[in-house]
Amino acid sequence: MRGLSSERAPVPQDPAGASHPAHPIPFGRTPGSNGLAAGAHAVMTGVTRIFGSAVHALGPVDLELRRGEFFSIVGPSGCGKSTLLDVLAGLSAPTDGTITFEGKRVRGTVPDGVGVVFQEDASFPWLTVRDNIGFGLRRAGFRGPEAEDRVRHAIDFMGLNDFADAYPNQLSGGMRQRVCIARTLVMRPRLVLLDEPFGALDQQTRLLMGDELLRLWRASGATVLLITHALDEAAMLSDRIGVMSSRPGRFIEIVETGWPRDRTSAIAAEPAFGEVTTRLWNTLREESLKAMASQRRVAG
Amino acid sequence: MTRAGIQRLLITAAAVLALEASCRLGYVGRATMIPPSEMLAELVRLMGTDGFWSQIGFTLRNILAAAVAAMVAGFAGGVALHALPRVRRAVEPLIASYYALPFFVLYPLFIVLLGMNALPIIAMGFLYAVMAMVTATLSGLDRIPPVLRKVGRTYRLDRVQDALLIQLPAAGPHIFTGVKLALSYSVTGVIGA
Repeated sequence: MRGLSSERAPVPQDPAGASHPAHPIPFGRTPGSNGLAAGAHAVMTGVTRIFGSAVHALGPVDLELRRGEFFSIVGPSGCGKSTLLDVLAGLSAPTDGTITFEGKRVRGTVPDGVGVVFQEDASFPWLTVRDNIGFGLRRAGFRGPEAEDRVRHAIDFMGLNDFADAYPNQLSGGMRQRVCIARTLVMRPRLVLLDEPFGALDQQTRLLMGDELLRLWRASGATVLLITHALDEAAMLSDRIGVMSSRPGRFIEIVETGWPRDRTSAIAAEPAFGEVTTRLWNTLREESLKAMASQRRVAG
Repeated sequence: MTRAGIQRLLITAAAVLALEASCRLGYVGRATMIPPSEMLAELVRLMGTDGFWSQIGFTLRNILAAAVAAMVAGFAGGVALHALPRVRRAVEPLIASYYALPFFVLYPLFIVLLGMNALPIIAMGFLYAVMAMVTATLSGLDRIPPVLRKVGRTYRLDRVQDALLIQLPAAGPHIFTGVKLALSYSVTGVIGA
């Protein structure tokens, strides 16, 4: 598949995080680890998921996530995007096929090094922002100054300083989602799976959160897989975008954007951005119509 | 005190005064109810008599025993029914109609079975309170967002950790409501018995 990167005009870049707080790499491992490394990080081979005996939700799917890339998946409603994420995360077992993460087989349990952010508000309402973010660290046995330092940096980086001791019900939806993202990323996962994390947010907040996500991705050096309905979000954030068919979901095209690593949401003003979203829509339109027709048949 | 608090106090005082006046003016017969002021005077007199405080202590102990037993059994029953959906479907009509049962007809039976002591009284308090705790526990467990269970799995929590660190706190507000109801119902059951 032809990448689009070679045709790209220069795009706006993040001015070295000038507007962001201190602690430039709160979630990262080493400053030098941000570049794309060679090799597959996670691999799905012939993965299918069938619910019961009749609902063929996914596959067969083959996917190779490159280490350190930002990969998004778009597709019609009900095409199996979230099922794919659940299977890749180890939250559910595939009916057929294999999944490997860092060369090890994933078998229905979430492997060490994988973090997941969900579409729904998954903050713990009984814990403060600080305790929410530190939850995974405490479970993993991190105590004392290191854990406190990581949590403090995460709070700072996500702009939650004024709300560190607030409870989730005192925060907006966008802030709660930032808490969930911080809670996942503070564990320093090497593979971050995001299931429509901005689905409930307004457009402006989505753009801002997208910028934050790109910043975190660069800082962490992690591989990111994002499930989204929004074509512009996928086009803005991703190195590659997988377009899925209507159910049972399969990849019908993988689009390489060719964006530079230090991109921001300002890239949406570029003509090349329009090319990517148009291409995605052209591929997806037919599948979306099929999905709608199928849903009408079920409803009728 | 807040404005609403003052209003509540005034309304309550007015209601008591109206009741007092109704009793004094004969609108409510003495056979039905004596005036609240006489009740208060009688209460003060009783508090000075022998055995009053031991009787109060006896009642409070019974209430406490019934409430604690109902909370423990109700919570365990709620958890078990939540884990066994088929059993739950089978007993759901019983749960729904539970408080329509005339429990006090069982009191003589309890006296026969358990003797003339505190146990039949505690049993009545328990019966009144236990289902409130069962339904509150079920309600709390039903309302745990499925995504929180997924979060627990992403942190590789085992079943006990998941129950203690996620499910119990997530269901906490409903369970606490059950605790309050169980206490109230056990007061009703024990005093009634």
